[in-house]
Amino acid sequence: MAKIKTPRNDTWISDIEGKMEEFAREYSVAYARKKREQSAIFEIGCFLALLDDYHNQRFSITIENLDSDGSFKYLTSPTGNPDNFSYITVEKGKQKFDLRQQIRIRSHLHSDVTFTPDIVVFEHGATVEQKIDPDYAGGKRGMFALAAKNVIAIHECKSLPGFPELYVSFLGMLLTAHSSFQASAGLSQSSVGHLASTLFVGGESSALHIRMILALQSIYPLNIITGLHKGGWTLTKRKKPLNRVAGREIPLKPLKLTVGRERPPAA
Amino acid sequence: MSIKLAATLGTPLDWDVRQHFVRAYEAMWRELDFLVERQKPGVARALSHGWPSDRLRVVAVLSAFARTVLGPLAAAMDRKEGVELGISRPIRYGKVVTISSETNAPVGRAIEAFDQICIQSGIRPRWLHATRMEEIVYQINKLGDGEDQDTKE
Repeated sequence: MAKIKTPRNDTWISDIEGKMEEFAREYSVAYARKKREQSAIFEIGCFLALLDDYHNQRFSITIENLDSDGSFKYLTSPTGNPDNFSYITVEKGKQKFDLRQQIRIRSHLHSDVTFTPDIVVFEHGATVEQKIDPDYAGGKRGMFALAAKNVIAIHECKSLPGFPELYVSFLGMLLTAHSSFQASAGLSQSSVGHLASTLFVGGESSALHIRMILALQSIYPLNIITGLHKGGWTLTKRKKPLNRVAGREIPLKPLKLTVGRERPPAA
Repeated sequence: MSIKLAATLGTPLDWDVRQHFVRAYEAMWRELDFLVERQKPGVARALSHGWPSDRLRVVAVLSAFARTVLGPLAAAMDRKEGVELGISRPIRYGKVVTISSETNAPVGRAIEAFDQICIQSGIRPRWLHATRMEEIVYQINKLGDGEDQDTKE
């Protein structure tokens, strides 16, 4: 094969350089965000996509606990008191659920096993416990956590290119959150119901990765959705159905926050 | 030549984001060097379709920028209907991030302007979301061979 040569003084390149200089001058204020801000915006995008999925299924959606200026105050960290932030309730028939961000989950595996997914869907009225733990914040602040038994679905948002280890590690998160999580358990591919626990990935996936994702989705009640960086994306534009889960019918009661002082008992 | 482009796009960025951006295009450049060094036929075919290495380096920089800078912002844009949240009712994340039609508009214009420059230069949006140079070369050759029917991008 002949040695590859490239032309000198390529006007195509100088033209694009000039246009991008102009672009950077005009728009850098809009796009130059900090990494943390980028991740937050991406997570909010996933949250809104999820919300639109409920909207499209004609769930009644209520925005709760708005800030004094009428805006939605997004919980940014598991250390925050959920009572001080906005959240969503979705309701259909006798079923009502909360969509919240950054709620710590106490695993069914052991009460000392806790973790915080980006978005949680859980039964409305479930108790988010606040307990003082000497090993948490020096025992000075309460640690908020929701028991895993109340969780319908967890959703994790990763603003990066997908890769096999990321997909596989999501299984561990689901094993920790869902007591019934196992191969072929509760698989239901459809366009209605709660989206099964989902990993939202910003980057596109290669053909090989797509095969891996489809295989995982055919075995486990989960979804891995890639390509959110393309923007303008909604769940309803998908051609193939996603895995869905049903929620239990439960009596409606208000969200409760309890305050305790004991360290949670070991399972 | 593409170093100038990388500097133009990278200079306004926050340090962390710039590191991601630089790592992303450098990884593609390394992969391109490997493909050229090994004289992979795909690269030669791309050249025959009008895409020499220097142009591929430019595409790598633009792809890195699309993926590490504009992509995360694009995920929350372009919602015009559905639940009012994030459209007419703002979402506030701390003191620095607000998502609403008003705040989304300049970002939407930036993404649109960037896409337009790329399209006018013959760069397909699909190439910008590829994470590997081999994938870009594959897409270029598919288009060059007339196998890419998807012209609606």
